[in-house]
Amino acid sequence: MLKAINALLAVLGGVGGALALYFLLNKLVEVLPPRWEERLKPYVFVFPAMLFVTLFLVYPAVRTAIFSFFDDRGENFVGLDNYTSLLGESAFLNTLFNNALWLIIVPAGVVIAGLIVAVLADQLRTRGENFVKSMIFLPMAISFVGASTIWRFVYAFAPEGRPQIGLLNAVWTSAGFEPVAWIQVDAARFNSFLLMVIMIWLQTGFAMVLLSAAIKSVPAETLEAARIDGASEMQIFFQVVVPQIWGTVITVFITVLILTMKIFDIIYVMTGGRANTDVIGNRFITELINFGRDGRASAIVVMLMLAVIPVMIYQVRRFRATEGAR
Amino acid sequence: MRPRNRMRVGGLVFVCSLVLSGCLGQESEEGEEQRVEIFGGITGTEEVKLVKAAVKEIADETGIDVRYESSRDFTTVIRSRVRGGDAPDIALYPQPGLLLDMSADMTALDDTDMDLDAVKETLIPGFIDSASRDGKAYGAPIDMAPKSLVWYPKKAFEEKGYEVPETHADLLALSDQIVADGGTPWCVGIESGPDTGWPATDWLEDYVLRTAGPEAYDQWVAGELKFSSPEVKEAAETAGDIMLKDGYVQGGGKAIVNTPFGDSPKQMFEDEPACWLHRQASFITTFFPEDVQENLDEEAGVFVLPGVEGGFDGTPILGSGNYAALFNSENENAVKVMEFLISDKFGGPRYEGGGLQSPHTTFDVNKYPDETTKQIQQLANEADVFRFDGSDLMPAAVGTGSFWTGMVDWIGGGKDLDTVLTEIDESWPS
Repeated sequence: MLKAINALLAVLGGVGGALALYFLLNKLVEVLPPRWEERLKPYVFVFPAMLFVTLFLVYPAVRTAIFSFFDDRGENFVGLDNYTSLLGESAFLNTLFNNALWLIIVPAGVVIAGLIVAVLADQLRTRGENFVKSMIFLPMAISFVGASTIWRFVYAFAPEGRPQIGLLNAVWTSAGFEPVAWIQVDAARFNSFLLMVIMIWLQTGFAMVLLSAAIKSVPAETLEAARIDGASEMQIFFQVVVPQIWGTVITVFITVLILTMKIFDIIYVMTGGRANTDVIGNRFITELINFGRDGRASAIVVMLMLAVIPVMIYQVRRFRATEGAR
Repeated sequence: MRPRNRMRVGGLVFVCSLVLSGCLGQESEEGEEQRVEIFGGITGTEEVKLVKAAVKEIADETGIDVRYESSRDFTTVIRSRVRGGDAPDIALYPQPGLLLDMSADMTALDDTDMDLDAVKETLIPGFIDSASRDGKAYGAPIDMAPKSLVWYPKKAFEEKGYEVPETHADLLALSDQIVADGGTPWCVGIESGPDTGWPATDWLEDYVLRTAGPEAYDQWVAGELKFSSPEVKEAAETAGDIMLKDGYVQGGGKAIVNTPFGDSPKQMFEDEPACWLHRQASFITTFFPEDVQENLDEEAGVFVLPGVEGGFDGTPILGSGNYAALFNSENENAVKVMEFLISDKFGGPRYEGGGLQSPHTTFDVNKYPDETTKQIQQLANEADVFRFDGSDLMPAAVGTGSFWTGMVDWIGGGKDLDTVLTEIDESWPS
C-alpha cells in the first residue's frame, strides 16, 4: 500500500514537475525583451529533452564504448582484446551469421506476408475485411516472450510412445512419421527459420495495417487507366500499385529491420541460443548477466550499435526527404 | 484561474509530492541499528514461506529483529548493491564461487568472535572449504542438497524383485535386467529453460568423482585438469554408457535434451513405470506427483550412485547448498544471527518442506518431515568425501555457459564428445 502511494506520488511529482518546469521556463523567457524571447523560446523547449537524451542515451552509449576497451570488471584497459577475441571465436561468428540471416529473412518475410494479407483482405467486403484484419493484427498485442511461450508448445517434442503435446509433432506423427525435435534441427539453420516464423507471425499485423492503408490511398484512376490499357491484374499490382506504395514498404521494412537487429526474447525463451541459434542480443545478455564479463558484453553492444547506425541514418534522411517533399 | 495562480498550484503540488514521497521513503529506514537484513535469492511462494519460518526461528532464538529480502536476480543485484555501498548485513549465496568473488567486501568468519571451530567440527567434511580462501572462511553453508542420489519407484521396484545396486557393475546389470523385462531403465531430462544442461553437468561431475577421484576433481574444477584429459573423458564415457545407451532412455539423447528436468521423474510414478531410475538431487522430491510426495516414504526409494570399480575407493557425495556471508560485522546483532545461521541448531522449520538437509552431521534428524529425508542425511553423513557442485565453482563462462551447452550438444547428438570437451577447454577464460 505504501509502495502504491509512493508510486502514485512519484508519477504525480514527475508529471507535475515537468509541467511546472516548462511553465517556469516559459515565464522566464517571457520576461525577456520580445526579440530575445523569440530567439530563445525554441531552445528553452528543446533543452530539457536534449538534456535527458544526453543523460540517458548519449552518456551511457559513450560509457559503453569506453567499457568495451576494458576487462571484465571495467578496471584495466585491454585495448582491442575484447573485439579480437570475440571475432576470433567460431561461436561468435556463428552468432553474427545467424543475425545476418534474421536481418535478410524476417523484414522481407513480414513485408511479403503483410502485403499478401493486405491485398487479399482488400478484396473482401468491409465486415469480412475488418474481421480478418483484426485477427491478423491480434498477435501484435502479445509480447515476444508470451508469443515464444505459445510457440514452444507448437514445436514441443516428446519421444515416440509418449503423448505428443506439440502441435507440429501431433500433426507430423498422425501422418505416420516419427516425432522430430524441431528446435534441435540445425541442418541448414532449419531451427533458426522456425524461430523466425514466430517473429513474422508477430509483425505481419503491423505491416498489414500500414500497407493496407497505403493500398487504399492508391488513386483509383491509375488502376482504371491501366485496365483500359489492357494490363493484367498482376501487371497492375506490380507496376502500378507497388511503385505507389513503395515508400510505405520501405518504412515497414526498416522498422522491422531495426526491431530484428535487437532480437533477443524469442531466442532466449525458445533455445537460449543453443543448437546454433544464438543471436547478438542474446549473446550480450549471456556475457553480461551470466558470465559477468562487462568488457566483452560492451564490445558486442558497440558492434550492434555500429550496425544499426547506418540504417538509422538512412531512415532519418528518407524521413527528411519525404517531409521536405510535402 | 489565472495563469500565475495555476503555476503556483502546480509548483505546490510538485513540492508537496517530493516532500511526501521523501517522508514515506524514510519511514522504512528507522531502527536501522538493531535490525539485521538478510538478502538472498531464495524466492517463490513455497520457498519464501520456508524462509519466513526460518526468519521467525532466528528471531525467536536470538531475540533480534531480522528481515529477509529476496531477489530472483540475486546474482546481479548483490553485485550492484555491494559495489554501490549498499551491502546487506548478511547475504545468502546459492554457490560459493560468486561469494568468493566478492570476498574483498566481506568479513572473514575467522576474524569475528564466533566459535568457528565448533561449526567446522560438526560440518560435513569439505563443505566449508569451498567458501574459503587463503585459510580463511568467508562463508559457511546453511543447508545442503546432496546430488549423488538415485531415485526409484519403491512399490513397483519391489514387486519386480529388483535390488538396490551396490556397485557400478550391479547398476548396469540392473539396467539390463529392466530392459530384458521390457522396460526402460532410466529417466533423464536436462531441459531447464535458459539453464538447460545443468543436470547433465552433475552427471559428469558425479562420475569424475567416482572414476578419477576427489583430487582429480579439485584440479578439474580449478582448471588444472582439462576437460579433454583422459580422466574427464573416461568419466564422460562412463556417464554416456548409461545416458546414451540404446534402450536405456526412452527416445535417447534427443529426448533427454528436450525433457524438462522436473517432468522426467514423474514418469517413474505412472501406473506402469515408464522408467525406473532417476539420478537427481534431494530437492527433486518437490517435483514428484503430489500423491507421491504425501507418501514419500512408501512410494519412493533412494540410494547413492554407486562407485566405479577401479576408480576412487570410497563413497563420494556431490552436492550443493546455500552459503551465508557476513558483510556488516559492525552490527553486533548481525554477527549473532550469523552464528546461529551456520550452527547445527538452525533449520528445523526450513526443512519441513523436505528436499533439503542440514550440512551438519550433528543436526537432530527427528526434525525432518519424513524417513526419506532422514535416510538422505544418513547417506550424506556416511560419505567419505563431500564435493560441491563443480559447475558452480568454475568460471561462469564455463560453469553456466559452455559446460551446459557442451553437454546439450553432446547428448543431443549435435557434436561428438571430443569436439565438445575441446570446445569447453577453449572457452575457459585465461
